[in-house]
Amino acid sequence: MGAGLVCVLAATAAVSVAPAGWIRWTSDVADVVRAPVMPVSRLGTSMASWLRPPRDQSGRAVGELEIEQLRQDRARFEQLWHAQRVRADGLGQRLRQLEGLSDAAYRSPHPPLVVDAEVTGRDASDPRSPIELRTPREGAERLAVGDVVVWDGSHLIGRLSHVSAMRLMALPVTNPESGPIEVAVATEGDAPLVRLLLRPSDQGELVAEVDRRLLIEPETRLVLADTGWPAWSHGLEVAIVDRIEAMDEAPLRHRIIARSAVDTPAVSQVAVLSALEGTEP
Amino acid sequence: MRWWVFLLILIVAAGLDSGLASLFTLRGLGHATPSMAACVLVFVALQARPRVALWAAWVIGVVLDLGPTAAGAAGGMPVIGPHALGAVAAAYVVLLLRPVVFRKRLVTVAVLAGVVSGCMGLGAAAIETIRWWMPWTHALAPPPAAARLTTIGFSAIYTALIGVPIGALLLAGTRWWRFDSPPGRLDYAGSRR
Repeated sequence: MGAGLVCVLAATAAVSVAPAGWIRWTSDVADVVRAPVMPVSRLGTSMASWLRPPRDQSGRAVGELEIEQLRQDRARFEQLWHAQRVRADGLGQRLRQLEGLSDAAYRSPHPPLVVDAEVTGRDASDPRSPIELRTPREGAERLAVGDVVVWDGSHLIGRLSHVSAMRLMALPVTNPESGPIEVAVATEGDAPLVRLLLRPSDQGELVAEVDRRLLIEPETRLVLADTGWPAWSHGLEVAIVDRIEAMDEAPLRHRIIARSAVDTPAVSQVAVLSALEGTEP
Repeated sequence: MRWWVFLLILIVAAGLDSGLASLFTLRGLGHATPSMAACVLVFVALQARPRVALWAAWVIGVVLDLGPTAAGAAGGMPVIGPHALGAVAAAYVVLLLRPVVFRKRLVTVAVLAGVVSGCMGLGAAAIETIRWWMPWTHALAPPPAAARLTTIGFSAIYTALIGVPIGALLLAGTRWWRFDSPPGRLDYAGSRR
Protein backbone atom coordinates (compact mmCIF):
# COMPACT_ATOMS: atom_id res chain seq x y z
CA MET A 1 0.00 0.00 0.00
CA GLY A 2 1.60 3.26 -1.10
CA ALA A 3 2.21 6.26 1.09
CA GLY A 4 -0.19 8.31 -1.00
CA LEU A 5 -3.01 5.89 -0.42
CA VAL A 6 -2.26 5.74 3.29
CA CYS A 7 -2.45 9.53 3.50
CA VAL A 8 -5.72 9.56 1.57
CA LEU A 9 -7.19 6.89 3.82
CA ALA A 10 -6.09 8.80 6.91
CA ALA A 11 -7.70 11.94 5.56
CA THR A 12 -10.84 9.97 4.71
CA ALA A 13 -10.99 8.58 8.23
CA ALA A 14 -10.56 12.08 9.67
CA VAL A 15 -13.31 13.46 7.46
CA SER A 16 -15.63 10.61 8.36
CA VAL A 17 -15.65 11.64 12.03
CA ALA A 18 -15.37 15.38 11.50
CA PRO A 19 -18.01 17.69 12.95
CA ALA A 20 -20.97 18.32 10.70
CA GLY A 21 -20.03 21.98 10.38
CA TRP A 22 -16.66 21.10 8.87
CA ILE A 23 -17.98 18.93 6.07
CA ARG A 24 -20.49 21.25 4.46
CA TRP A 25 -18.30 21.23 1.36
CA THR A 26 -19.23 17.61 0.75
CA SER A 27 -22.65 18.73 -0.47
CA ASP A 28 -21.04 20.56 -3.37
CA VAL A 29 -18.76 17.64 -4.16
CA ALA A 30 -21.76 15.33 -4.02
CA ASP A 31 -23.55 17.46 -6.59
CA VAL A 32 -20.60 17.02 -8.94
CA VAL A 33 -20.44 13.28 -8.34
CA ARG A 34 -24.18 12.84 -8.75
CA ALA A 35 -24.32 14.75 -12.03
CA PRO A 36 -23.24 11.77 -14.17
CA VAL A 37 -24.88 9.20 -11.89
CA MET A 38 -28.34 10.72 -11.76
CA PRO A 39 -29.36 10.13 -15.41
CA VAL A 40 -28.62 6.43 -15.04
CA SER A 41 -30.37 6.43 -11.70
CA ARG A 42 -33.42 8.10 -13.19
CA LEU A 43 -33.51 5.55 -15.98
CA GLY A 44 -33.32 2.78 -13.42
CA THR A 45 -36.04 4.37 -11.32
CA SER A 46 -38.39 4.57 -14.29
CA MET A 47 -37.70 0.96 -15.13
CA ALA A 48 -38.17 -0.14 -11.54
CA SER A 49 -41.37 1.84 -11.22
CA TRP A 50 -42.69 0.20 -14.38
CA LEU A 51 -41.70 -3.31 -13.34
CA ARG A 52 -42.62 -2.95 -9.68
CA PRO A 53 -45.05 -0.10 -9.22
CA PRO A 54 -45.12 1.37 -5.76
CA ARG A 55 -48.11 0.56 -3.60
CA ASP A 56 -50.20 2.85 -1.49
CA GLN A 57 -51.11 2.14 2.13
CA SER A 58 -53.88 -0.21 1.15
CA GLY A 59 -51.46 -2.27 -0.94
CA ARG A 60 -52.86 -1.08 -4.24
CA ALA A 61 -50.29 -0.59 -6.98
CA VAL A 62 -49.84 3.05 -7.93
CA GLY A 63 -49.03 3.53 -11.58
CA GLU A 64 -46.58 5.99 -13.07
CA LEU A 65 -49.40 8.07 -14.52
CA GLU A 66 -51.01 8.33 -11.14
CA ILE A 67 -47.72 9.33 -9.56
CA GLU A 68 -47.25 11.97 -12.23
CA GLN A 69 -50.78 13.22 -11.56
CA LEU A 70 -50.00 13.38 -7.85
CA ARG A 71 -46.81 15.29 -8.59
CA GLN A 72 -48.74 17.79 -10.67
CA ASP A 73 -51.39 18.10 -7.98
CA ARG A 74 -48.72 18.64 -5.37
CA ALA A 75 -47.12 21.40 -7.46
CA ARG A 76 -50.49 23.03 -8.09
CA PHE A 77 -51.57 22.96 -4.46
CA GLU A 78 -48.17 24.20 -3.37
CA GLN A 79 -48.61 27.18 -5.67
CA LEU A 80 -52.13 27.74 -4.32
CA TRP A 81 -50.83 27.50 -0.80
CA HIS A 82 -48.19 30.15 -1.48
CA ALA A 83 -50.82 32.32 -3.16
CA GLN A 84 -53.05 32.04 -0.11
CA ARG A 85 -50.14 32.89 2.17
CA VAL A 86 -49.49 36.03 0.14
CA ARG A 87 -53.18 36.90 0.23
CA ALA A 88 -53.37 36.26 3.98
CA ASP A 89 -50.37 38.50 4.47
CA GLY A 90 -52.02 41.23 2.41
CA LEU A 91 -55.23 40.92 4.37
CA GLY A 92 -53.24 41.05 7.58
CA GLN A 93 -51.60 44.28 6.46
CA ARG A 94 -54.97 45.72 5.54
CA LEU A 95 -56.36 44.70 8.91
CA ARG A 96 -53.50 46.43 10.64
CA GLN A 97 -54.22 49.56 8.62
CA LEU A 98 -57.88 49.37 9.59
CA GLU A 99 -57.02 48.83 13.22
CA GLY A 100 -54.89 51.95 13.09
CA LEU A 101 -57.64 54.10 11.63
CA SER A 102 -59.33 56.62 13.84
CA ASP A 103 -62.77 55.89 15.22
CA ALA A 104 -64.10 58.70 13.10
CA ALA A 105 -63.42 56.62 10.03
CA TYR A 106 -65.71 53.89 11.32
CA ARG A 107 -68.39 56.19 12.64
CA SER A 108 -68.74 57.85 9.26
CA PRO A 109 -71.80 56.71 7.29
CA HIS A 110 -69.47 56.18 4.34
CA PRO A 111 -66.30 54.59 5.64
CA PRO A 112 -63.37 54.72 3.26
CA LEU A 113 -62.11 51.94 1.10
CA VAL A 114 -58.59 50.93 2.15
CA VAL A 115 -56.18 50.11 -0.67
CA ASP A 116 -52.54 49.21 -0.04
CA ALA A 117 -49.92 50.68 -2.32
CA GLU A 118 -46.17 50.29 -2.56
CA VAL A 119 -43.92 53.30 -2.74
CA THR A 120 -41.88 53.06 -5.94
CA GLY A 121 -40.23 56.45 -6.11
CA ARG A 122 -39.43 59.58 -4.09
CA ASP A 123 -36.63 61.98 -3.52
CA ALA A 124 -35.23 60.85 -0.20
CA SER A 125 -33.35 64.11 0.25
CA ASP A 126 -36.43 66.34 -0.04
CA PRO A 127 -39.40 65.77 2.29
CA ARG A 128 -41.56 67.93 0.06
CA SER A 129 -41.11 65.77 -3.01
CA PRO A 130 -44.12 63.94 -4.41
CA ILE A 131 -44.27 60.21 -3.79
CA GLU A 132 -44.77 57.78 -6.62
CA LEU A 133 -46.88 54.73 -5.80
CA ARG A 134 -47.50 51.57 -7.72
CA THR A 135 -51.09 51.26 -8.83
CA PRO A 136 -52.51 48.45 -6.70
CA ARG A 137 -53.81 45.23 -8.18
CA GLU A 138 -57.34 46.30 -7.38
CA GLY A 139 -56.90 48.82 -10.18
CA ALA A 140 -56.98 52.54 -10.46
CA GLU A 141 -60.71 52.76 -11.09
CA ARG A 142 -61.40 52.59 -7.38
CA LEU A 143 -59.09 55.50 -6.66
CA ALA A 144 -59.38 59.18 -7.45
CA VAL A 145 -57.39 62.35 -7.17
CA GLY A 146 -57.78 63.70 -3.67
CA ASP A 147 -57.90 60.34 -1.91
CA VAL A 148 -56.11 60.33 1.40
CA VAL A 149 -52.75 58.60 1.76
CA VAL A 150 -51.82 57.39 5.22
CA TRP A 151 -49.12 55.36 6.84
CA ASP A 152 -49.66 52.97 9.70
CA GLY A 153 -53.36 53.69 9.64
CA SER A 154 -53.41 56.96 11.50
CA HIS A 155 -50.53 59.04 10.17
CA LEU A 156 -51.41 61.34 7.31
CA ILE A 157 -48.97 61.58 4.41
CA GLY A 158 -50.99 63.59 1.90
CA ARG A 159 -53.45 63.21 -0.94
CA LEU A 160 -53.32 61.63 -4.36
CA SER A 161 -52.53 64.15 -7.07
CA HIS A 162 -52.42 61.82 -10.04
CA VAL A 163 -54.07 58.50 -10.76
CA SER A 164 -53.34 56.32 -13.77
CA ALA A 165 -53.31 52.64 -14.59
CA MET A 166 -49.56 52.55 -14.15
CA ARG A 167 -48.81 54.73 -11.17
CA LEU A 168 -50.19 57.04 -8.53
CA MET A 169 -48.67 60.26 -7.32
CA ALA A 170 -49.20 61.46 -3.79
CA LEU A 171 -48.51 64.99 -2.68
CA PRO A 172 -47.34 65.12 0.92
CA VAL A 173 -48.80 67.78 3.17
CA THR A 174 -45.34 69.36 3.34
CA ASN A 175 -45.42 70.09 -0.38
CA PRO A 176 -46.23 73.76 -1.03
CA GLU A 177 -48.73 72.72 -3.70
CA SER A 178 -50.82 70.99 -1.05
CA GLY A 179 -51.87 74.33 0.33
CA PRO A 180 -52.75 75.16 3.90
CA ILE A 181 -54.33 72.57 6.07
CA GLU A 182 -56.40 73.07 9.21
CA VAL A 183 -55.33 71.01 12.18
CA ALA A 184 -56.18 70.78 15.83
CA VAL A 185 -53.92 70.39 18.79
CA ALA A 186 -54.33 66.88 20.16
CA THR A 187 -55.25 67.55 23.75
CA GLU A 188 -56.19 65.15 26.47
CA GLY A 189 -59.40 65.29 28.43
CA ASP A 190 -62.01 67.99 27.91
CA ALA A 191 -59.62 70.83 27.17
CA PRO A 192 -60.95 73.23 24.55
CA LEU A 193 -59.96 72.41 21.00
CA VAL A 194 -57.29 74.64 19.55
CA ARG A 195 -57.26 74.95 15.78
CA LEU A 196 -54.28 76.01 13.66
CA LEU A 197 -53.76 76.63 9.99
CA LEU A 198 -50.57 74.89 8.89
CA ARG A 199 -48.82 76.09 5.78
CA PRO A 200 -46.00 74.25 4.04
CA SER A 201 -42.71 76.11 4.13
CA ASP A 202 -39.91 76.05 1.59
CA GLN A 203 -37.83 73.93 3.94
CA GLY A 204 -40.31 71.09 4.01
CA GLU A 205 -41.77 72.08 7.34
CA LEU A 206 -45.27 73.16 8.37
CA VAL A 207 -45.68 76.58 9.88
CA ALA A 208 -48.56 78.20 11.75
CA GLU A 209 -49.03 81.43 13.60
CA VAL A 210 -50.92 81.35 16.90
CA ASP A 211 -51.83 83.63 19.75
CA ARG A 212 -48.93 83.66 22.18
CA ARG A 213 -51.35 83.03 25.06
CA LEU A 214 -52.05 79.56 23.75
CA LEU A 215 -49.94 77.05 25.57
CA ILE A 216 -48.42 74.81 22.91
CA GLU A 217 -45.22 72.92 23.61
CA PRO A 218 -42.76 71.08 21.39
CA GLU A 219 -43.66 67.46 20.59
CA THR A 220 -47.36 68.32 20.68
CA ARG A 221 -49.28 66.30 18.13
CA LEU A 222 -51.41 68.05 15.55
CA VAL A 223 -54.34 66.18 14.03
CA LEU A 224 -56.38 66.82 10.92
CA ALA A 225 -59.43 69.01 11.45
CA ASP A 226 -59.94 70.43 7.99
CA THR A 227 -63.51 70.54 6.76
CA GLY A 228 -62.21 70.35 3.21
CA TRP A 229 -61.14 66.80 3.87
CA PRO A 230 -63.49 63.83 4.24
CA ALA A 231 -65.07 63.56 7.65
CA TRP A 232 -63.63 60.10 8.25
CA SER A 233 -60.11 61.46 7.82
CA HIS A 234 -60.45 63.92 10.68
CA GLY A 235 -58.24 63.00 13.57
CA LEU A 236 -55.43 61.60 11.47
CA GLU A 237 -52.08 62.70 12.83
CA VAL A 238 -50.61 65.37 10.55
CA ALA A 239 -47.59 66.83 12.28
CA ILE A 240 -45.63 67.19 15.48
CA VAL A 241 -44.61 70.55 16.85
CA ASP A 242 -40.88 70.90 16.47
CA ARG A 243 -40.21 74.33 17.96
CA ILE A 244 -41.90 77.62 18.77
CA GLU A 245 -40.40 80.94 17.70
CA ALA A 246 -41.25 84.49 18.63
CA MET A 247 -42.31 86.84 15.84
CA ASP A 248 -40.66 90.26 15.88
CA GLU A 249 -43.15 91.64 13.40
CA ALA A 250 -46.12 90.46 15.52
CA PRO A 251 -45.22 90.38 19.22
CA LEU A 252 -48.62 89.01 20.25
CA ARG A 253 -48.23 85.91 18.15
CA HIS A 254 -45.90 82.94 18.04
CA ARG A 255 -44.73 80.98 15.07
CA ILE A 256 -45.12 77.24 15.42
CA ILE A 257 -42.89 75.09 13.26
CA ALA A 258 -43.96 71.49 12.92
CA ARG A 259 -42.56 68.50 11.13
CA SER A 260 -44.59 65.90 9.31
CA ALA A 261 -45.83 63.05 11.49
CA VAL A 262 -44.41 60.61 8.96
CA ASP A 263 -40.79 60.24 7.95
CA THR A 264 -41.95 60.13 4.36
CA PRO A 265 -38.63 59.21 2.69
CA ALA A 266 -38.41 56.10 4.86
CA VAL A 267 -41.87 54.76 4.10
CA SER A 268 -42.15 51.85 1.68
CA GLN A 269 -45.81 50.90 2.02
CA VAL A 270 -48.80 53.17 2.42
CA ALA A 271 -52.57 52.86 2.42
CA VAL A 272 -54.88 54.92 0.26
CA LEU A 273 -58.20 55.72 1.86
CA SER A 274 -60.59 56.14 -1.00
CA ALA A 275 -63.92 57.88 -0.74
CA LEU A 276 -65.18 56.53 -4.05
CA GLU A 277 -67.24 53.78 -2.44
CA GLY A 278 -69.52 56.36 -0.92
CA THR A 279 -69.91 60.06 -1.34
CA GLU A 280 -69.90 62.50 1.46
CA PRO A 281 -73.31 63.24 2.90
CA MET B 1 -6.27 -0.64 -16.17
CA ARG B 2 -8.20 1.82 -18.28
CA TRP B 3 -9.56 4.26 -15.76
CA TRP B 4 -12.14 5.73 -18.10
CA VAL B 5 -13.68 2.30 -18.59
CA PHE B 6 -13.68 1.83 -14.85
CA LEU B 7 -15.34 5.19 -14.24
CA LEU B 8 -17.94 4.56 -16.92
CA ILE B 9 -18.85 1.17 -15.48
CA LEU B 10 -18.83 2.62 -11.97
CA ILE B 11 -21.25 5.39 -12.95
CA VAL B 12 -23.60 2.85 -14.50
CA ALA B 13 -23.33 0.56 -11.49
CA ALA B 14 -23.86 3.35 -8.96
CA GLY B 15 -26.77 4.73 -10.98
CA LEU B 16 -28.46 1.36 -11.27
CA ASP B 17 -27.82 0.63 -7.60
CA SER B 18 -29.77 3.75 -6.83
CA GLY B 19 -32.39 3.55 -9.55
CA LEU B 20 -33.20 -0.14 -9.32
CA ALA B 21 -33.12 -0.26 -5.54
CA SER B 22 -36.90 -0.07 -5.30
CA LEU B 23 -37.17 -2.98 -7.73
CA PHE B 24 -34.64 -5.29 -6.12
CA THR B 25 -35.04 -4.41 -2.45
CA LEU B 26 -36.51 -7.26 -0.42
CA ARG B 27 -38.60 -5.46 2.15
CA GLY B 28 -39.42 -8.64 4.02
CA LEU B 29 -35.74 -9.46 4.53
CA GLY B 30 -34.55 -6.37 6.31
CA HIS B 31 -34.64 -4.33 3.11
CA ALA B 32 -31.80 -6.35 1.69
CA THR B 33 -30.49 -4.70 -1.46
CA PRO B 34 -27.88 -6.02 -3.88
CA SER B 35 -24.89 -3.91 -4.84
CA MET B 36 -23.64 -3.81 -8.40
CA ALA B 37 -20.84 -1.53 -7.27
CA ALA B 38 -19.62 -4.37 -5.06
CA CYS B 39 -19.50 -6.62 -8.12
CA VAL B 40 -17.42 -4.03 -9.96
CA LEU B 41 -15.12 -3.75 -6.96
CA VAL B 42 -14.59 -7.50 -6.84
CA PHE B 43 -13.93 -7.68 -10.53
CA VAL B 44 -11.33 -4.91 -10.39
CA ALA B 45 -9.74 -6.24 -7.21
CA LEU B 46 -9.39 -9.67 -8.81
CA GLN B 47 -7.89 -8.43 -12.06
CA ALA B 48 -5.98 -5.20 -11.46
CA ARG B 49 -2.67 -4.63 -9.76
CA PRO B 50 -3.02 -4.40 -5.95
CA ARG B 51 -2.29 -0.69 -5.72
CA VAL B 52 -4.66 0.11 -8.58
CA ALA B 53 -7.30 -2.12 -7.02
CA LEU B 54 -7.08 -0.27 -3.69
CA TRP B 55 -7.31 3.12 -5.35
CA ALA B 56 -10.25 1.94 -7.43
CA ALA B 57 -11.93 0.66 -4.27
CA TRP B 58 -11.49 4.03 -2.63
CA VAL B 59 -13.02 5.76 -5.65
CA ILE B 60 -15.96 3.36 -5.58
CA GLY B 61 -16.47 4.04 -1.89
CA VAL B 62 -16.32 7.80 -2.35
CA VAL B 63 -18.86 7.61 -5.18
CA LEU B 64 -21.14 5.52 -2.96
CA ASP B 65 -20.68 7.97 -0.08
CA LEU B 66 -21.50 10.95 -2.26
CA GLY B 67 -23.96 9.27 -4.58
CA PRO B 68 -27.73 9.28 -4.45
CA THR B 69 -27.85 6.26 -2.17
CA ALA B 70 -25.78 7.93 0.55
CA ALA B 71 -27.59 8.11 3.86
CA GLY B 72 -25.96 11.39 4.81
CA ALA B 73 -25.15 12.96 8.12
CA ALA B 74 -27.08 15.43 10.18
CA GLY B 75 -28.71 17.99 7.95
CA GLY B 76 -28.56 15.69 4.93
CA MET B 77 -24.90 16.34 4.26
CA PRO B 78 -23.09 13.40 2.72
CA VAL B 79 -20.19 12.00 4.72
CA ILE B 80 -17.11 10.74 2.95
CA GLY B 81 -15.74 7.73 4.72
CA PRO B 82 -18.16 4.97 5.64
CA HIS B 83 -18.19 3.34 2.21
CA ALA B 84 -14.78 4.65 1.15
CA LEU B 85 -13.01 2.98 4.05
CA GLY B 86 -15.28 -0.07 3.90
CA ALA B 87 -14.57 -0.52 0.20
CA VAL B 88 -10.79 -0.31 0.70
CA ALA B 89 -11.06 -2.87 3.49
CA ALA B 90 -13.15 -5.10 1.26
CA ALA B 91 -10.66 -4.75 -1.60
CA TYR B 92 -7.86 -5.69 0.79
CA VAL B 93 -9.76 -8.82 1.73
CA VAL B 94 -10.12 -9.72 -1.95
CA LEU B 95 -6.42 -9.09 -2.50
CA LEU B 96 -5.66 -11.49 0.36
CA LEU B 97 -7.92 -14.12 -1.12
CA ARG B 98 -6.81 -13.57 -4.69
CA PRO B 99 -3.89 -16.03 -4.68
CA VAL B 100 -6.13 -18.90 -3.68
CA VAL B 101 -9.10 -18.43 -5.97
CA PHE B 102 -9.79 -18.79 -9.66
CA ARG B 103 -9.76 -15.16 -10.69
CA LYS B 104 -11.64 -15.49 -13.94
CA ARG B 105 -14.29 -17.87 -12.79
CA LEU B 106 -17.80 -16.56 -12.58
CA VAL B 107 -18.42 -18.29 -9.27
CA THR B 108 -15.38 -16.53 -7.81
CA VAL B 109 -16.71 -13.12 -8.77
CA ALA B 110 -20.16 -13.98 -7.45
CA VAL B 111 -19.04 -15.38 -4.11
CA LEU B 112 -16.50 -12.66 -3.50
CA ALA B 113 -19.12 -10.05 -4.43
CA GLY B 114 -21.10 -11.30 -1.46
CA VAL B 115 -18.01 -11.13 0.73
CA VAL B 116 -17.23 -7.63 -0.48
CA SER B 117 -20.81 -6.52 0.07
CA GLY B 118 -20.64 -7.81 3.62
CA CYS B 119 -17.27 -6.16 4.28
CA MET B 120 -18.48 -2.86 2.85
CA GLY B 121 -21.65 -3.03 4.90
CA LEU B 122 -19.78 -3.82 8.10
CA GLY B 123 -17.23 -1.11 7.42
CA ALA B 124 -19.90 1.47 6.75
CA ALA B 125 -21.84 0.40 9.85
CA ALA B 126 -18.68 0.63 11.97
CA ILE B 127 -17.83 4.12 10.75
CA GLU B 128 -21.41 5.29 11.20
CA THR B 129 -21.45 3.93 14.74
CA ILE B 130 -18.13 5.56 15.60
CA ARG B 131 -19.44 8.76 14.12
CA TRP B 132 -22.52 8.52 16.27
CA TRP B 133 -20.37 8.11 19.37
CA MET B 134 -18.54 11.34 18.64
CA PRO B 135 -20.49 14.07 20.41
CA TRP B 136 -19.55 16.78 17.92
CA THR B 137 -20.82 15.07 14.78
CA HIS B 138 -24.58 15.35 15.47
CA ALA B 139 -24.90 12.08 13.55
CA LEU B 140 -28.19 10.28 13.39
CA ALA B 141 -28.52 7.23 15.60
CA PRO B 142 -27.75 4.07 13.63
CA PRO B 143 -30.40 1.34 13.43
CA PRO B 144 -30.30 -1.48 15.99
CA ALA B 145 -27.32 -3.78 15.52
CA ALA B 146 -29.41 -6.90 14.91
CA ALA B 147 -31.44 -5.22 12.21
CA ARG B 148 -28.33 -3.79 10.61
CA LEU B 149 -26.52 -7.13 10.62
CA THR B 150 -29.58 -8.83 9.17
CA THR B 151 -29.66 -6.32 6.35
CA ILE B 152 -25.92 -6.68 5.72
CA GLY B 153 -26.15 -10.46 5.72
CA PHE B 154 -29.08 -10.73 3.36
CA SER B 155 -27.64 -8.01 1.15
CA ALA B 156 -24.39 -9.97 0.90
CA ILE B 157 -26.26 -13.11 -0.16
CA TYR B 158 -28.37 -11.13 -2.58
CA THR B 159 -25.27 -9.47 -4.04
CA ALA B 160 -23.67 -12.89 -4.51
CA LEU B 161 -26.75 -14.01 -6.46
CA ILE B 162 -26.86 -10.94 -8.63
CA GLY B 163 -23.10 -11.21 -9.00
CA VAL B 164 -23.64 -14.12 -11.38
CA PRO B 165 -25.11 -12.14 -14.27
CA ILE B 166 -23.14 -9.00 -13.47
CA GLY B 167 -19.94 -10.98 -13.16
CA ALA B 168 -20.63 -12.70 -16.47
CA LEU B 169 -21.01 -9.34 -18.17
CA LEU B 170 -17.84 -7.97 -16.59
CA LEU B 171 -15.79 -11.06 -17.41
CA ALA B 172 -17.05 -10.97 -20.97
CA GLY B 173 -15.72 -7.43 -21.32
CA THR B 174 -12.38 -8.00 -19.64
CA ARG B 175 -10.39 -7.09 -22.73
CA TRP B 176 -11.85 -3.56 -22.68
CA TRP B 177 -10.29 -2.92 -19.30
CA ARG B 178 -6.69 -3.60 -20.36
CA PHE B 179 -5.65 -5.01 -16.99
CA ASP B 180 -1.88 -5.18 -16.86
CA SER B 181 -1.47 -7.40 -13.84
CA PRO B 182 0.91 -10.30 -14.40
CA PRO B 183 -0.93 -13.57 -14.81
CA GLY B 184 -0.87 -15.69 -11.66
CA ARG B 185 -0.95 -19.46 -11.50
CA LEU B 186 -4.68 -19.46 -11.11
CA ASP B 187 -5.13 -17.59 -14.36
CA TYR B 188 -4.07 -20.75 -16.13
CA ALA B 189 -6.91 -22.51 -14.47
CA GLY B 190 -9.24 -19.87 -15.76
CA SER B 191 -7.87 -20.17 -19.25
CA ARG B 192 -8.22 -23.94 -19.27
CA ARG B 193 -11.99 -23.67 -19.29
